[in-house]
Formats: sequence, C-alpha cells, structure tokens
Amino acid sequence: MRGGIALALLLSGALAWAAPPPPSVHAGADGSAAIAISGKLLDEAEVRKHMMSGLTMNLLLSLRDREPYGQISIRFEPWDEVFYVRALGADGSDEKKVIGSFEALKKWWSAPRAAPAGRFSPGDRLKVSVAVIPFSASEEADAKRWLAQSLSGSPTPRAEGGGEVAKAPPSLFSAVIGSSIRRRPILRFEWTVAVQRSR
Amino acid sequence: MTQARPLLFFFLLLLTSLSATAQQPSFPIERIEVRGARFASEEVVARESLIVEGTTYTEAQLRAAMSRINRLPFVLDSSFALEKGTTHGSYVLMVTIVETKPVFYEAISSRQRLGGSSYPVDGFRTGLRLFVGSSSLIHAATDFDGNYQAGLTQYNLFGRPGYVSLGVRWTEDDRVDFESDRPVPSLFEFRVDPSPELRFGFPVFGDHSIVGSWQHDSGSARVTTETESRYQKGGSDRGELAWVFDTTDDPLLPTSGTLWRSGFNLELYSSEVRSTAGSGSLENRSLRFFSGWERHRPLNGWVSVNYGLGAGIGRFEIESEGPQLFGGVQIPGRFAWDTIGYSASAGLSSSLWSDRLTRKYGDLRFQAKAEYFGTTENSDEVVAYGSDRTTLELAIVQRNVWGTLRLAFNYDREID
Repeated sequence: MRGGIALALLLSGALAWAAPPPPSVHAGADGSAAIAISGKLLDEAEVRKHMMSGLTMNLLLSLRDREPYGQISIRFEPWDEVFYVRALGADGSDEKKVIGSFEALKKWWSAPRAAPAGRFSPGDRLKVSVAVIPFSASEEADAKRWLAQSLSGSPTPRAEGGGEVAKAPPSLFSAVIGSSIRRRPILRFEWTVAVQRSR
Repeated sequence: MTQARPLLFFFLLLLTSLSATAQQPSFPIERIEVRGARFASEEVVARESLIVEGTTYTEAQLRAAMSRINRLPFVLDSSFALEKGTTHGSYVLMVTIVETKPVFYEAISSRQRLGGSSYPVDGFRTGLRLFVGSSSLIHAATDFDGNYQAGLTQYNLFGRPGYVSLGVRWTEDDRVDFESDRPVPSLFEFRVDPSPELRFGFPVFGDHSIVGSWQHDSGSARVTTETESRYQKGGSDRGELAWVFDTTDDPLLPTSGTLWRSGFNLELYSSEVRSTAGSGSLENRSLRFFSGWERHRPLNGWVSVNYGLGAGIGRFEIESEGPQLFGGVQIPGRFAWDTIGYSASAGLSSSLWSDRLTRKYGDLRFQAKAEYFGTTENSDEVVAYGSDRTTLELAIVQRNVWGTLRLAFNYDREID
C-alpha cells in the first residue's frame, strides 16, 4: 500500500514536472486582465512535432473551458527556417509576423495577451486552457460557414460571477474561433490559476 | 443607406474571406514518401491520395488528400508533414499512416426490437487482409456460422488510382430436421453455390468517383414432408453503378464531410420448382434509381451530428407459371408495380474518452441515429399502397487497429 502511494506520488511528481508551468494572469485596476503562457509549452514533443510539420498548427486559448480569447497559428517554413505566425485576439487584434528562430518564437508566444472583456479581480481562480489543433483537424468549409454566420451577429457572452454583460468579441474573431472549436484537438493543457494584481 | 451598410459590410468580409483563401500558402510537392506501412502498400497509399508529384497544393487540398487516405480500408489514421525537396521551394510530402493489422475482427451484439417483439442479433467475423506485392490485396473472412468470403483487390490498375475487387462467397450446405417441433414432420436441406462478386471504384476528379458492383447468387433447396417433396433452385444477378461524392474523414465512423451517392441498380432473379404437385417458374426483375445525401458536421472536439435525405424510384416485374407453388400467393402470370421511396435521417456521434486514450486504444464512440422511410407502391392491378417505417439505433462502438466491436440497440416500427 505504502509502495503504491509512493509510486503514485512519484508519478504525479513526474507529471507535474513534465507539464508546462502554469500561465500567469494579471488583473489591471480597470478589471481587464492579461494572460501569459510559458514558452515551455512549445517544447512539448507532441506540440513540437506538429509545429515543425511545415503545415499550419493552431493553438486555441480559452478561459473557463468555453470562452476563447485567442488563436495562434504557427507554420514552420523548412526552407527559410522561419515561423509564420498569426495571433487573433479577443480585443480585435490580428497580428501577423515572421519569426526567425524557435527561441524568438517562444518569447513571442509567452507575451501577455488580453483576456476577453470582463471583471477580473486579484485572488480570483481562473481556468486557462490551450488546445493544440493540427492542420489535419480543421475544416475550411466550416470556417467559411462560421464566417458567414458571424455576420448576422455573435452571441454576447456573460461574465462569470457578477453577471455583468461583457463586450461581444469582434465578428472575424468569433468566426475563426468558431471554426476552430469544431476541430478535434490532439492535445489540451489546462491550469487553474490565481489572478494576480498587475504590477 | 443605413440598410445598405450591413450588406456592404457583409461583402467586405466575404471579400476578406475569399482573399484569405486565395492567399493560402501553397506547396510544390516534388515527391511523396509514406511511412508507417508495415503491412500496407506505400505505393497504393501514395496513389490513392491523388497527389501528383510535381504539382502545387494548398493546405486545404492536402487535407482532402489526407481524408482520401483515411478512407482506405487498411488505414486508421494519417498525418502529413513537409520536408525540404531537392530544389529551393519544393517539398517532400511525408505521409505517416497508422495502419490496421492484417488480422481483423468485427463483433456485433445488438438487441432488435421490431413491432412488439425483441430478439438478439449477435455476430462475430474475423479474417485476414494482406498485401501481395505492391498493389494487390487478398482477403479472406468467416463468421464461424458456415459463411466464408475470399477475394483479391487490385489497386493501381494501368498506373491509375482506383481498384477492382474480385471475390467469392460461399455457405456450407445445411440440413434442418423439423420433425421435433413441427406438426408436420419436414426435412429442409439447402445449398448455396459459390457466389462470385465484382466491385470497382475509380476517381473521376477530386472527391468524385464512379463505383460499381455485380454479384451472382444461386442455390437450391429441398423440402420433404410426409405428403410432398419439393425441389427449388434459383439464382439472382445484381448490378449497381453509382456516382459518389465523398469528403468524409472516415469510412466507418465519420465526424465530418459529405457523402452523396446517386445511381441505379438492376436485379434479375429466377427460380424453378419441381414438386409432386407440379412444376413452375418465377422470374423477378427490378430497376431502381436512387440518390442519398448525408452530411457529418462536428459540433466540437467530441460531438458531431449527421443528417441526410434519400430518394428512389423503382419498377418491379414478376412473371410466373404455377404461382400456387410459390407459397400459394395468387398473382397473375405477369405483374408489375412502381415504387417511390424517400428517407430522412438524423443522428449524432460522440467520443466517449479523451484524445490521449483514442490515440492509444482507438475510438470509443456513442452513436445514435433515427431514420424515417416512406414508400408508395402503384400498379394497374392493385390500389396504391403506402407504408412508413421508422428506425432508431443506439450503439457504442470501439474501433482499433484490430477491428470493431459494436454494441447496439435497434428499434424498428412499421406502419402500413
């Protein structure tokens, strides 16, 4: 029995050691928040395998399981050995870049990203997840359909807790995210973290 | 002007979407390399992807090629990666497959509820599927209930994608003595001759293909009672030709894509009876045109829904001599009728365990499907007759590299 517990502890320790460190969430005085996810996630063997495939891999960033707040697309170009990246954010941002090295990519990836509008307070517990979606799991037709659907207006999400109505994300963002969450992830990382006060 | 603004916005976004599609990165594929094929043929996998070396493809086109590979009966899953080719800007497409084992099984245990009664339908099939050479696949299977099947499938005919499959099915002779549980003691013996069958499929363009099949069945039966001895033999030929549009991601458990099948089938059946009460013959002919469409759409990473519509029209003809010999049914010497059929279906499919477990142990899915069939029959001699049927299937399916296990409940209700 004691041996079993020791083995379980050892295994859980090994898993904890193997998992990427939890993200940091910092809340501003106005209730906004920025989330930074460790670049070590990109070191994960499965993630790296799909990222280096030369075809586009998507990473879907979500809060509380159901609230997407960003989508990162990464494609490695074998000839130039650069990464073509695109980051869509809940704040309507759409950033496209060419990054020259894996280390630079990790640094760019781990930069804080804006959470969906809502009220975040220091000390709150927040579930953050990253779904890794390989190129094979996407469906272009669905992406187009969701783009068309988003034109008729997207549902307004409701902030957790106080019931305060949050701002609806921009149409293009919900369209792309809408198509992404219909894809089957190959891997999902989840953490529950405490919101910290912004420095 | 205010009303026109949303429309303008719509077109602007549509243009953005179209230009995004046009700006998709494309990759000149210099060569295809298949990995992970221990039992399968690398050549067939490469050919059936319809990727032509020296041609440029977008990610969407590569995705469609991946679905084509995943629909091969000996491939469970595949992944693509690009590596540098020999000249700058060209790529080698690395296709890694998860193949099925050469020995396969299929187990079904279901409870069928038809009308007011319920009965079990259980079955177990196992067999062998083996590549012989680079493009020939042989298979043999049995259900341990006296039924056997064997065949040869030839891929890459004339250096082109597609297949032709030749097979034969046969059943052990059977003999049933009803002496103990029938009021009239009777002996029923039947034999089924080896039945040849031919199947083929050729891609026409993209995900469109022409598929066809022909099969011949023949056999005989002898029934002996205290008062009568009857010998009956018959045979049938059934052919089908269809156009198929298939973009589904899996042949057995699809979660996305469209399957549209339209074509016709022709069936000829003839039977002869020699009995102590006389002799007779019966001939059936039927020609049926059909079209069926089914769409699978993922709702999220776990659940997908499917819905479909089908329709068909057919003409059936019977010609008989001595109809009393065929179950005593009073039919004229020649009888013909037309049928119109239509169907609608809706269902869902949900993964029951995590992606990690799926990758390790294969799929475990719950499937539910409800289907409605309507039929109307018309003939000169008989008043128009219609019937409706509804079916519901609930199933749990486990599929891995060795085979498929299906536990199901089927409900079938017919309304005249």
